[in-house]
Amino acid sequence: MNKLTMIVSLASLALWCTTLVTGLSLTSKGAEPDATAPASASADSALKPFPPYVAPVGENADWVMRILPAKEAATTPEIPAPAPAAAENGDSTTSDDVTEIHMTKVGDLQRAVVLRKDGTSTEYYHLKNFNLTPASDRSGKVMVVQQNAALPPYPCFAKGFFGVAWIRPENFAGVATYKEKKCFYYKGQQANPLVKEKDLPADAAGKAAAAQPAEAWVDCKTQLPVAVKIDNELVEFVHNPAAKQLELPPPYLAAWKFHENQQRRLNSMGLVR
Amino acid sequence: MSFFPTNLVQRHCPRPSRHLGGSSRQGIALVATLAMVAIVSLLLVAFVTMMQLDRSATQSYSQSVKAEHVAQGSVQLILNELQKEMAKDAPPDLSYPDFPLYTNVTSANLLPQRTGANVSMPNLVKVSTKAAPIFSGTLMSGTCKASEVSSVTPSQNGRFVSTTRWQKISLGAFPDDASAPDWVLLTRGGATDGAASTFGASGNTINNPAPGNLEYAIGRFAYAIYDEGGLLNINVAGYPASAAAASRYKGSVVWADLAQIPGVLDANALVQWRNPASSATSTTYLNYATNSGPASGFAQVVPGNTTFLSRGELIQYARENPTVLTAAALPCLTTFSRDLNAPAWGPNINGTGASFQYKTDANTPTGVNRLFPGVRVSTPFTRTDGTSAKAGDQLVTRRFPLSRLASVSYGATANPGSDIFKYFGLKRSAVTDPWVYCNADGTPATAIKTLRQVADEGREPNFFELLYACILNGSLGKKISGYSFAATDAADSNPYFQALRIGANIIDQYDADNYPTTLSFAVANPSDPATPDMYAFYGIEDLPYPNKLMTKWATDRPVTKTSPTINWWTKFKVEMFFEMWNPHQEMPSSGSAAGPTQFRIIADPAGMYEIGSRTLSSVPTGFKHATPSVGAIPADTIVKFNATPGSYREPYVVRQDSATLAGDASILSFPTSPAGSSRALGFKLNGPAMPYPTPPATHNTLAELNSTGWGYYITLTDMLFSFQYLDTSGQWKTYATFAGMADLPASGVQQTGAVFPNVNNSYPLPSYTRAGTMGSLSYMKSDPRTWRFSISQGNPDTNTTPYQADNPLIASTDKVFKALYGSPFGNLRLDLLAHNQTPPSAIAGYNGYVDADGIKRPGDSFLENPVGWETSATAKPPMKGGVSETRPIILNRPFRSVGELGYVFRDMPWKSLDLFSADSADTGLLDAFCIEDSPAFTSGRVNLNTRNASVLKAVLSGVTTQEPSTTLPAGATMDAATADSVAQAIVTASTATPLVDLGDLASRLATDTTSLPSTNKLVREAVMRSLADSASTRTWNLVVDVVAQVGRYSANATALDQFVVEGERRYWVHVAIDRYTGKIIDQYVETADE
Repeated sequence: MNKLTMIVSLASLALWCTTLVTGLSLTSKGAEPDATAPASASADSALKPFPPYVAPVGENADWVMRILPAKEAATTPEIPAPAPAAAENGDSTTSDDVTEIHMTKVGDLQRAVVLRKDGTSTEYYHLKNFNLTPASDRSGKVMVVQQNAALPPYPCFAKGFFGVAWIRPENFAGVATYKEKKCFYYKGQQANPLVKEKDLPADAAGKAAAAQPAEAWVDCKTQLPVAVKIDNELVEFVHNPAAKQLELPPPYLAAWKFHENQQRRLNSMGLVR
Repeated sequence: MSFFPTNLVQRHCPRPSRHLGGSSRQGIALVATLAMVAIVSLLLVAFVTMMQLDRSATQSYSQSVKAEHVAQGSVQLILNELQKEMAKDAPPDLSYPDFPLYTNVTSANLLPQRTGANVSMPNLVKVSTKAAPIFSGTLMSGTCKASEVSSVTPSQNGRFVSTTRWQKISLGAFPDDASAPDWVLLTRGGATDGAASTFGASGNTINNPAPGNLEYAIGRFAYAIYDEGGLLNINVAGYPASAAAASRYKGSVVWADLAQIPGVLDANALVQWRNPASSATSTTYLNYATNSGPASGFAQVVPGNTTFLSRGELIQYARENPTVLTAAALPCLTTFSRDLNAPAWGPNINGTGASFQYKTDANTPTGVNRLFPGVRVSTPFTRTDGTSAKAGDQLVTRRFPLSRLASVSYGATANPGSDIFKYFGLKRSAVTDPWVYCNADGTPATAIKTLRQVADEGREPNFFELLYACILNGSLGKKISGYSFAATDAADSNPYFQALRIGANIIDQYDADNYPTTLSFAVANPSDPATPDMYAFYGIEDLPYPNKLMTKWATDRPVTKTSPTINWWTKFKVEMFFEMWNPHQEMPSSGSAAGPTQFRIIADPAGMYEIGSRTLSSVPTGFKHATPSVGAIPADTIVKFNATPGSYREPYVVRQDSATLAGDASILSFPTSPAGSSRALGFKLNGPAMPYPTPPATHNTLAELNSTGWGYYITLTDMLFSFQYLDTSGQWKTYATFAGMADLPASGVQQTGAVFPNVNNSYPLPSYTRAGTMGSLSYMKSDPRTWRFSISQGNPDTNTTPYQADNPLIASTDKVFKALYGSPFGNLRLDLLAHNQTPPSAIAGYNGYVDADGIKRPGDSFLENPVGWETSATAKPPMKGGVSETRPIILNRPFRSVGELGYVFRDMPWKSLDLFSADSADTGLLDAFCIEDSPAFTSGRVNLNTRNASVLKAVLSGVTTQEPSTTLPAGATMDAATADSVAQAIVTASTATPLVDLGDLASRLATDTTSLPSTNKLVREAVMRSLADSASTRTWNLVVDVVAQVGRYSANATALDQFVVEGERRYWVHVAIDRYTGKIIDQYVETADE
């Protein structure tokens, strides 16, 4: 495998980071968090982060990640977008202007409903380390694929909340308010877990790929993430009352049962001595 | 007989009276009286004479009878001693007292101990000698020991047996008197060497005839025992000139080349005399050799033929027909040899791990690979031949004839109770169904039972159970873990699966067609025991098999830049191609075998793909990400292609041909293939849109984008492609997959890979070439015939013509090799799987892989130095482009020799059943199977441990070393010089350490490229092909040349050589004794021809 292939393979999570944060320019001037960064780590010096610093996702949970538009690119696009290709052979792929991801978790089962700018949505599920993805042609077929570090499309199913893995006490930068909510403010860099520095191009872009500037606001009371900003892209969290029930809809359930039966068959044909 | 008792008549002549009278009357009276006296005297003399004659005759007869009794007793004594010899170092297993069994047979005690033999007489095994008893062991020694009196020493009355007389049997010449047999003395108490005997008129002396004296000598005997098993049975061996063409396949000692025996001057005349009826034409002789002869085990004379009834007749024939056969041939020939037609194989090595202590566990009931004789009948039952199997009998008393494979034909069906079911455990109700492997009760089997389990069920093992019992279990089910691009490891690890595939491969070697045999086998389903999971297994035929899955990544239009405008593509596609390969040699019969010509490729409906774009987050904002394209190959998208017998003999992309060129809706038109105008065929997967509709100015070239790590990815799940042929009923039948278990897509391709579109990869694609235009996400099997070890990531970009002579045979990301050989491994050469031994000189990281039992077993090309294979013009590994002679063979005809099982694919990359290496796991097959159905014992097999190289030379000479192929139309056979060289090597090897079985031969000659100068497995296994059905090791076939004399020591005798001979008998006793049971299989006594 050549180096570039490896780079891309390992850059998958970052893709989704980009995907999520580059989704939509809601305003022409881009998004600015309604937040006050601490002038210094002083005003609420009595407040100190405490373990685990960010609350884990509960056994049952329900939250929404709103992807706010990134700052406008520094360079004004000078190249016109190409005309869309005519769909063929049932091809139904669309550009991915994600605006919101609604996460629901009940036990082992997670659901991510991805909303896009054009109003379409896609329902993904995650169960026992497998992701269930519907076919693009809406044929009802569902792809069951093992969660893999090399697979980029499902960071929302990563363990814990999205974008907070880098938070540590040493990144604590003070207490700040975010949309009138008192938060612990962290500032640091999110290392791309899928990127190994040796695999990156030996230039500035490569180095930048290994880690991106990151900021986070964590509720001082609940330690739930309130907002995360990575590489100029902002994700806001809205935490809802925990869901009590979640089931796989029929097409997903059929695919999952088929998958389980396949795994059972695989396991049962193993070593016989 | 020239040496009968001496006439011991003693003449008693009465003297006449000398008294006379005085008168004439008195004179007359006197005359009358004298006349009367004379008459009376004459009468008396006559009477006495008659009495003497009668007495002499009676005495002679009496001595003759005594001599015969002494001879018979001597023979019985010798045979008893021979039987006892088998227990000299270890007692038999007496679990069943009526059926003793020697389970400790090793090379050290396999053969009768040589006693008093000499180097001048290779056939001589024992003579009676004063130097040693008939045998001596750690537990016991023979009681039969000779005296110090040589048989060549004249007796008291001048009788002796000269070396010339001893040589009348024509099995060798005693070099001197000292080597001749010595006399064993027979007293009333038994045999003795006389060392402790005393002489005297009274007491327990050797010459005191007093009643009750057990030391009194009544006779003596001497013997010479020859190995008759090591000779060619002239009643079986040889063929007429008209049948010479058939001899190349061997298959029995019938096809031995008698002309290689010194002294055989006219083999054709000899056979014509012996088999006048069968020799009429080549066809009649072939029929005799393969049907009527084997039917009786060559133990009966076919009507119209004749036979040598005894060795004496053979000697007489040589005497009377010196232009056909001279006496020089006689030491190589016999008229008697018998062998049990029952396997005696048992494993003689141990592997690593508790489960693989083959030799140690050969007699353990739970063992898989058992010593065959040690598996006894536990539940009496009636055998398939109608005989009774009693408790304690050996379970397997007859080898399984491969001729039964004829019944499992393409058009056959079978229900429980049928012969196919009985012999193979298979059933099916319709020709279009797969064969289902069943338990004895007809339910689908979830296991191949061990011999012990079979015995407990009160039946004989079927074909598959014998296979499973013979192939060392740890050599089956080799898998790799953790590096699979396709989830095949679970199926790989199942030894039943591999045994079934081997069985199917055997069937498909045997049948004449090219329609693969499909077997169905059940795996237990714990969640629903009544509904086991059924899996299909396909035999390998002379067909193209999927070798590679290649993907091509392309955009809908090329990227161009007309400053300041860049014309990006909008859609992205992935295309899948398949490379097919029929790796077999093309045989002259390839074109005539009935078989499929139309093929298609279908994707399992469960298979799905996801294609998305990837980027590093350092790419400036403003780019957009395309929603990944998730989908499946539509069910109606099918790739169809045709293949003729000559197609795909080298790896080639699936393409249109004349039969499909006109257009078929199911065929996708793909780029032009390199060979001409026909087009490569494959599947097209939809990709996502261009993810970055507004690329920044700083990344306005593809190269700049690539430098950021941007690109596309593809994920495949359950992507199992089935390769099907159109059968004669118009149904599509799966015969191969890429890659995994058919009907189990979870074992198919499961992978994610990434690629950077190249600016040249615009759609429509340019002409198909591997170089430069194919994506790196391509997969290759290690061998097109199997997906064992999963698949490797190949690199068609660099391998312009994989497996071609100018190609490095390298997979770019060969996880198979990393798993097998450990990492790092620099060269990633799949071709080394055909070697799999420690190379003669180092190849970094490569040292061969071991099987589950820890034993490193070689690939088919292990004798070739793999260093430089990829570049050498002379190296001939089978996967190399243009190579023919080392490529595998599909016979598509009945096996002519059990050794031809070496052609059968073993379901491991570049490994066929191994009958030629020191670490073979398969040599048990040579003993468990035979070619034709034969009775419980047969005639003619040659003892492999013969010291008579000429005999082996005759068996070997002319055997096929290379099957005729299109590149070698005449094929090749072993010439006499090579046969002699190999025969000498075998004799040397067995003389040093006897060969326990044919498998031993494989290990002894494994690396000997001097006597057999070839590294080609197919050539080297010619030795096995010629010997497999012609040789044996388990039976002692001996001829005892015994001379017994009756007589006594006179009252005044003082030394053992003063024996008075009164009568003599000489017999040639032919006997066959089974080494594993000590049982006399057959014996025949003939009066010596003097």
